[in-house]
Parts: sequence; C-alpha cells; structure tokens
Amino acid sequence: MKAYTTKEKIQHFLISNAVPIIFVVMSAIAIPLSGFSGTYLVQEMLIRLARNSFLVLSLIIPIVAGMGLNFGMVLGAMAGQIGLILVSDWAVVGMRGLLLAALIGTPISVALGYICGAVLNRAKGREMVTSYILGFFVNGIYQLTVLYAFGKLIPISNAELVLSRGYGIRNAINLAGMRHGLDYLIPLRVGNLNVPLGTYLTIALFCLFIVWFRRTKLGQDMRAIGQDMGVAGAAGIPVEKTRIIAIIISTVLACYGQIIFLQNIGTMNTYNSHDQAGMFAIAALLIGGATVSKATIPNVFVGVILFHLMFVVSPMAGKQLMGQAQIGEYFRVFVSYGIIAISLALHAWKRQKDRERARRSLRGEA
Amino acid sequence: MNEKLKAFIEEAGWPRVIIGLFLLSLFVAAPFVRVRVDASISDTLVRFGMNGILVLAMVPMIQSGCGLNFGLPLGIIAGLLGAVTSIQLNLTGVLGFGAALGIAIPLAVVFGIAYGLLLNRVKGDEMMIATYVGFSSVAFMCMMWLMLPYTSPNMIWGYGGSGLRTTISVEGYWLHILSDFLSIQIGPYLYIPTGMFLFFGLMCFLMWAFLHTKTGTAMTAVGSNPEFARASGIDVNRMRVISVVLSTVLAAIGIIVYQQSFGFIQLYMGPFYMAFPAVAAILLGGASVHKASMLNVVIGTLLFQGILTMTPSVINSLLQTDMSEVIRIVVSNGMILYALTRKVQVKR
Amino acid sequence: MMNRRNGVRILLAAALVLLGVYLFVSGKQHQMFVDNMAVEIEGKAYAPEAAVRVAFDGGEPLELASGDRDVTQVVGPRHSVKVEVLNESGDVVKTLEGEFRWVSTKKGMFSVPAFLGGAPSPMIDSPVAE
Repeated sequence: MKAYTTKEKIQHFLISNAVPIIFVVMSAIAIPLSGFSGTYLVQEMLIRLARNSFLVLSLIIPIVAGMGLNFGMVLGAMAGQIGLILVSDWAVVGMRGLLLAALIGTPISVALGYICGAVLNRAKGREMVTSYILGFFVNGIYQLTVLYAFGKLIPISNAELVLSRGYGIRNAINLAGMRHGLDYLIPLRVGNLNVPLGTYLTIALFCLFIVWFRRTKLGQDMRAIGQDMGVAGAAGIPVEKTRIIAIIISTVLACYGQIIFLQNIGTMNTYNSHDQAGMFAIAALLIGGATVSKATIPNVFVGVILFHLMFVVSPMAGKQLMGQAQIGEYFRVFVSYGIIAISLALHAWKRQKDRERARRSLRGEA
Repeated sequence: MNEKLKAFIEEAGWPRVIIGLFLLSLFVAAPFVRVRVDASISDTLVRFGMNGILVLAMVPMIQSGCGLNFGLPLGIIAGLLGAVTSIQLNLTGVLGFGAALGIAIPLAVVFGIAYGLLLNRVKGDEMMIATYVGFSSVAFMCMMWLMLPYTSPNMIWGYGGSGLRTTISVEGYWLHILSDFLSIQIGPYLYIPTGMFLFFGLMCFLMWAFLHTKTGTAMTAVGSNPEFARASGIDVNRMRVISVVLSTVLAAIGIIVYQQSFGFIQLYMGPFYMAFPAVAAILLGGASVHKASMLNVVIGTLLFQGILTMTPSVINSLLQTDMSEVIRIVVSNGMILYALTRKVQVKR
Repeated sequence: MMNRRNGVRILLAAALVLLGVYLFVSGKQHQMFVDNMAVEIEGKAYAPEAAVRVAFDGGEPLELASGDRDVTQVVGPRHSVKVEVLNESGDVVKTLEGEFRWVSTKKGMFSVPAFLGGAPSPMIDSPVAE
C-alpha cells in the first residue's frame, strides 16, 4: 500500500467535499453583501438547527440500506400533521399535546412506511423516482382525507380549524398551544436568547440512536444490503423485509421530525408544510456533503447550517446586488433544486464509471 | 367470453380499466346532473389538441430507453423563449407563430443536446435526474424572466416592477391561429379545432415515419436491448442524444401550440409541474416505461384530458364540492406509480 | 415463545393506548369561567368579596370585583388555586390556597365565594351559552 502525499490528501479532501466547500465560499461572498449582523445569523442558525435537524436525520437509515434518498419521507410528515390537527382540535397543549400527536402519528406512519417499503420492493433500482411519485400520490390521499373526511367522517369540534363550508381543515392552523412545547421544555436562557434545549437533547438522543443502530444486527444487515443486494440475500439476510423496516423507521422518524419542526414554527400550512419538508431536508443533506449512498451525522449538521445560511442570506444579497429581493428568492429555489440535480448526477456518473471499469476488468483489458 | 375479458384486463392493466370505466360513468352521469355533454366533449377535444404534442414528446425517450421524460420543462422553456421573443418582435398571425417556432426549435436542439449528454452519463438514473433538471431549469429561468431585456409593453410589469409578467396574453398576436384554421362549429356548444388536430396529426405522422427510418429503428433497438445494439454497431450514446433532442423539440412545439389555444403564455413557476400530466397521459394510454406508440399517445391524452374536463363539472354538481384537483393528483400519480412498479426489473 | 411475544406486544399496545389516554386527559386545555357573585349551593348561601385576586396553577392572576365574571384557560383535571382577598386600598388582607378537581364540562365555573366559604366543590354550573 502506497502512502499518500500531503498534496494527494488535500486533493482527495477537496474532491470529496466539493459541495460543502462551494457553499462555504458562496456564503462567504453573500453574507457581507446581505448586511446581516453576525449575532443575528448565529441566533437564526441555532433556531434552524433545532427546527430542521431531526427531519434531515430521518433520511440516513434508508441511505445505509442502499435505497437512496427517501423522498417518501413526506409520508411521515403527513402522518405527523394528521396527529397535530387532531390534537389541536382536542385542545391538548404543551409537551403532552406533542407526545399525543406523535402517538397518533406513529401507527399512521408505520402503515404508510410499510406501504412505501412494499412499493419500493417492486421498483428496485429506481427507488428514488418511485418514492418521489409515491409522495405525490399519498399527498392526494392526504388532501382527500383532510379536505373532505375531516369534519365529516372524523368529527372536528373546534370551529377555528374547519373551513367555513362546515368540513375540511383550514389552510393555516395556529399551533399556539403547542408552540415551543419541546423547545423550551427545559428552560435555559443565554444572554437574551432562549435556547431550545429540549429539542437539542432530543436530536442528540437521536444521533446516539443512529450510532447504536448501525452496530446492531439489523443495522449491519442493512449495510450489507446497501452494498450488494444479491450477496446479502445469498448470505441469508431477508432482503425485502429489511428494506421495508428501513423505510418504516425513516417514515416514523420523519413524522416526529415534522412535529418538532412545526412546534418550533408555531403555525402549520395544512396543504404545503409536508411538501417543503421533503425538499428542504434532502437539499440540506446533500449540501452537507452526503451522497445518495453515503451519509453521516456531521453531513446533517453541516448541511442544515449551510443550506439555511444561504436561505436566510440570499434574498437580502439579491436585493443589494440586483436591486430585487425576488431574484434572491428565486435563486435559493434554484440552488435547492440545482444541488439535488447535480448531486444525483455526480453520483450516477460515478456509479456508471465504476460499472464500466468493472466490466472492462472482466473482459481482461485493464 | 369470461376468458377474453380476463385477458383484456390483464393486457390493459387494472388501473386503466378502472379509469376508463370511471370516465365512461362520468359521461353517462353528465346529462342527469345537467352538465351539457356536447360542451364537455368540445372541451375535451380542445384540451386534447392542446396537450397532444406534449404527450407525444414522451415517445422518443421512452423508445430509446431513457425512460419517462420528467425533464419536459426544459423543452417547454425553449418554447416559452420562442413565444416571448416572437411577441417582443411584434410579429402577428402566422408569421408570429412561425417565428415563435423558428426561434424555439434551435434553442430546444441546443438544450436537448446538453441534456442528452448529461443523461448519457447517468444511465439507469435518468428519471430522477431529469425531474430535477426540469425543476432547476424552471427556477433558473424565473431569475432570467426578471433580468432578460425584454421591453414590449404587453409583456413587462406596468409600473414600478421590472421583468416579465407571470402571464402574457397572446391575443392580438397569434391567438387560436391553429385552432381556428378550418374549425367547425356545431350549434352553440360544440367546437372542433380542426387546425390543431391537423397539426397534431402531422406531428404524430412525422414521429411515426421517423421511427420507421433507419435511425428510428436503431433508436428503438437501443431502447429494447442496448448490448445487442452496441454489438451490431449502433452508436448507443448518439441515438440517446437524438431521442432527447427530439423530445425537447417536441416539448417546445407542444407548449406553443398549447399557448395559441389557451391564450396565455405562463412564465415563472408555470411550467414547473407540466411534465407530470404528460407522463401520466401516455402511461394511461397503455405505454410502459420502455415502450410507447402513437396509439398510446392519442388514447392516453383523450382519456386523461377527458377526466380532467369531466370531473370538475360532473363531480361538482353531484357532490357540491370541487374534488377535481384531488382526483387529478390521485389519478395521474397513481398511474405513474403503477407503471414504475409494474415489472420487477433491475436495469443494468 | 410466540405466545409470549404476542403477549408482550399486546401489553405494549395497551400501555401506549393508556399513555394516550393519560396525555389526553392531563394535557387537555379547558375554558373555565371565574365568578365572584353571590351563589347558593345545597341550600347554603355564599356572599361575594369586594375585590379578589385569583391565580390558577401559578399563572397570571385575575382581579375580580364583586359581581365580576371572567374567563381563563386551564390545563388538565387537577388545579391549584390561590385566592387573595383585597381591601379598598388594594392590600392583601387574606390569602387562601387550595386544590380542586374539575372533570365535568357542565360545571364549568369556578366560584370564588364558594371556595372561600369552604363549599364541598368550588365548581358551579356555567352560564348558559354566551
């Protein structure tokens, strides 16, 4: 084995972390342009780290199992929202309300996760596009439920939640009773900033869970499946079942993630919140340097910070640079989608090259 | 008889049968809830003409094995640029429409080549990447619509703002230029946009003829068995690029035809989700992820647009609520999902 | 073995349902009227104080003059209450702390005189739909 020179090491570091580095550079240019103060940005990042990390973390397990980015996480987000709607109707407040919402969301997201896993087992090799479309499909069913069944089949007594026609849930729900229920469960003030300690502790617990889970038998099985489904199957691992479990875990965690996200924000867009959750989580993870086949916990936190830094800064930077905040807003939409496109393409390209190399070595030309 | 029915259902697939029956029941129910059938048919026909070419744009990429073209918005953007430029030049009538096509097609070729080269590097993952190429190009153009130096007063924001409006009327330029050509009006409700159908027919014919040329058959060969195609000396990557360019050009033409009938050019986030109805339509028509024909295009567009036209009017008067949006989401995505999961086939 | 596993599962499910019920009962927010008027419970009359300050579960205090009625939000079935009786200059003359349970939605009004007078329950019928 040849020792690597310093130059090669640096090169390797730059190549494998290209995406986060580009974002650091972009932020370095945009922050002075936007004119935001350092303290403001730090505060904002601390809030957003609490708000989004859990959702992004929920994406890790399917990646370990080789199923790519779980675009089906929106299913879990929808389950969480159904829990929150019911709990706000019953006027259960505070941390107890959030726990109850999670308790209601859990069976729904287990069921949805099972369906998602079973569907993806029928679409091996194109899990991502399938889970993406599945998200749209279930969104249709979610709308059907929330817009027509709630208030008709499922009684909703709180008039503030129901549309004026008498059934169906309003577009925006105020979660005032549950707002910051988890964030400030353990009160802590630093300077004039409330630290969402409860949420940070939950996220830390979750990280420990992932570290532990990877070492369990199930976690090892998933990694084996992620490397090669055929070999794993031959070694006696129940491939299909394990894949379903991976998706169920991800879906349930996404459900909790969405509840944490919404308790921090305090209002819920009944028909949009979940859609955005999926896209932002995936973009953040990729910006943090994760790929379709490899994601680590540091990727999550780096990604959330960099993505949201750009998210906060770009409208103001656009305004200063072009005279229009609108441009900055479109810019961040463009970056979110563009980064997903580029990461997916780079990954697929690399995989294709690997395959070609393998084929060539089989032919004996290499 | 029973066997035949079973075989037919097996052949067509349950979702198609269910959706077909659903549409049929909508037409049957229509007169009872005082929805005019002739007006509905007219609407369906117009929408069929509007969307036909966009659906047709799916065919080449499916045939060449590139999968469903979720990157349709890229071609649509070329079409939008053509349309907007034609209005900027103040060209009206046939000339304006021709200019829009004339500008859009070369742009679409350029976009298509770049897009095709990208897709050649990501074989097996085309669909997901195509989706995000489409999305990011739409978002990129959102910035461009604000910054590009268009000046026609019919297109830019009136006062205070700068950049192009979100919707631009083509009235006075080339509104209904195809639709009204040889159009037939029967009674006050039934209108048949003959010109649009002729144009659509022409495009289908060209597509069909192309698929039977040497290049066309080579392209199909690439789609059905890339290894075999390579062995018989076909340049696989070149064929794939050709198919992507064709698809992108058809999307550009398709959106201009759409606009001349619809009456408006929709910029900004307008083209964002336009790929999904087209994908759903061709799958509804019986295409699979690997195989599509002109017949699939025609049947699929008719069925899909029929549902889109009939559900709002019939369901609304039946249940007094507007469920059409939800039904559209469930039907179109359900159809795509069905096609994606139909065969357990790991592509190599 | 399988039976034991299923048994554990059923127990777990039951525990979760119980947890849900507990959360629902203990976390539910109720609207409660607070009243400082003359009231008669089981033949015994209670007279209002001139001015009182009432705080539930250590929350923001409400000030009520004689004949006042106010509304507040409380969480769960069991509450602590602190009533301070004020004199004309606003000084506290008497403080009474206590606990009470409230479960029936029908009796949705907390009567300060009844509480001060030591009635069996301070909760009385809520006013007809306002």
